[in-house]
Amino acid sequence: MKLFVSPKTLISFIKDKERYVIKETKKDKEWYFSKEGAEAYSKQDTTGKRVAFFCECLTNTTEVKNEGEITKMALLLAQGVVNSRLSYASYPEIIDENKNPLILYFKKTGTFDTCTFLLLTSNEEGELDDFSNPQKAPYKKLSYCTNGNISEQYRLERLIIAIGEGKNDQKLVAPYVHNFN
Amino acid sequence: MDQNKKELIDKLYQTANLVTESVKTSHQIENLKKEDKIANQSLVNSANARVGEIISTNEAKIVNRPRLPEACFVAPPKRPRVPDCDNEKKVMLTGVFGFLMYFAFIYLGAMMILVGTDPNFAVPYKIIPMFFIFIALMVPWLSTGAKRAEILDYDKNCQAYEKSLQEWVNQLDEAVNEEVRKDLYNSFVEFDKSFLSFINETDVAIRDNYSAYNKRKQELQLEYIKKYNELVEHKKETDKELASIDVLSPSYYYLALDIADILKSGRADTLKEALNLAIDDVRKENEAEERRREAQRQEDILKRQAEEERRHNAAMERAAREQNDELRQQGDELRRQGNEMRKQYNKKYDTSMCHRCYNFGRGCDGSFVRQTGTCGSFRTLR
Repeated sequence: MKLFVSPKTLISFIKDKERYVIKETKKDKEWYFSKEGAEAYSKQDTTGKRVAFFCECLTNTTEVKNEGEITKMALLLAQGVVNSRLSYASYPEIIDENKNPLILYFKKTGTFDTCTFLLLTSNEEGELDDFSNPQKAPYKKLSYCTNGNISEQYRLERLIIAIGEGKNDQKLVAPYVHNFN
Repeated sequence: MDQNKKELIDKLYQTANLVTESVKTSHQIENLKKEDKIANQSLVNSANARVGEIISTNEAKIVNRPRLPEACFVAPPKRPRVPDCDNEKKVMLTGVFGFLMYFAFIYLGAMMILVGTDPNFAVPYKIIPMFFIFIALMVPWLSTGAKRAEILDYDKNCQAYEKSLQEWVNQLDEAVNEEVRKDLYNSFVEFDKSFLSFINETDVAIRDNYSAYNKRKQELQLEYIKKYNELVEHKKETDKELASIDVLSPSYYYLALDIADILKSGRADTLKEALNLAIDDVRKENEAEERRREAQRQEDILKRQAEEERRHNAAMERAAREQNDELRQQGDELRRQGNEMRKQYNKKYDTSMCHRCYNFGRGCDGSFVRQTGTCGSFRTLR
């Protein structure tokens, strides 16, 4: 216990209004949906900053404890969803579980599920089985770069696959699977 | 031997040969069925194994799946926990005040020691209450010490956190910059190409493999049908020929050779007699066989019993030996204890006189001396 702290240090702490403790605000769900939250988000001008922001937001507003999964989700939001055509790409819809089904699923399960996320962001109607079942040739449900132009949907899908598989070294993972028999 | 009998014997031999041929053909048909089943199974297995080979060979041609840099999966540094404090300024002011009180307390304490010993100086009576007042004033300082430390630590940790967060953000920005993203998507385009060509090539190769399999299966089927029909036809002809001879009832076909031998050797003159003799021979053979089996069974039982008895005896011997050993050990122990007691006794008493005593060996074994020590001839060493 630091009893003998110099009064000079203590006085300088009191005088300095820019100290962290003074300016620190507890960030709960309401804060993220408030004007202050929106302002704070608008200040995040790089992907890295946005990922950090979403990481903190998911940690404070969900029950998920797994840092790895939170980082993956934040990376998808900051890098994929933000720049997409999806209806919940803007703030605060992007963190609203009622508007963003990815957040709703993540809150429920606490996991980054590649196949489910592909289904949720797909253009067409479908079932989870279409993306995960090798018997149904799930690769056919993905969009492909045919004429040299990489579409937005293609980017989003490949980003989900790349983030979802993370450090996994396997060459073929769902939805890149097919049962030939 | 008359002509009729000779003819009969020939027919019987012919019947026996045809029966053997028919049975042999039946076995050949059964074997053919089994062989066909095995050949089909091995064909299916080899086709499936070939599919596995095709998939693994073509899979090796797929380019590596693109991956994001590892820096993307590193979690951001954790923000330090905010101290649970409503008014940090008040806590800090308590620290300043308490610090001053502490020095005042030391000063007063020193004064008390220095002037308290001077009998001409009456100040101590005023100092003592002040001393306790200062102690009371120091209580808030002491009680808020932990909180103050927490606030100051948080302040320091926040600075470190800001620094490490900035580093982490910079690393991530570098890891997912425009260039990297473009590379990632271009790599995915390449990967997709190789993956789709893998699917197409493998599909074609597997289709070819299965068409070859179907062709071979058809060939096998035709071969089988041809052989099967030949054998069935041969059996039909044999059975037809057998039926045309009409010497024996089909239920006695198996005795045809025996009957022919009986007739040939002259043991019987007519077919009926020969048939009865053959049946009788077979029955006797069966009985002898049964007896042999029974004798063998009895012999086995006796052998087993003898073996069990031998084992039982060995176990009994072992148990008796162990019991003897135990008794011997007990006897040795008792003797050892007796010797021990005798040694103890001899140390205490001199019993050499007992041997010269009139009563020794006539009812007194020295125990009287040992128990009471009052015998007239007894003498203690002490």
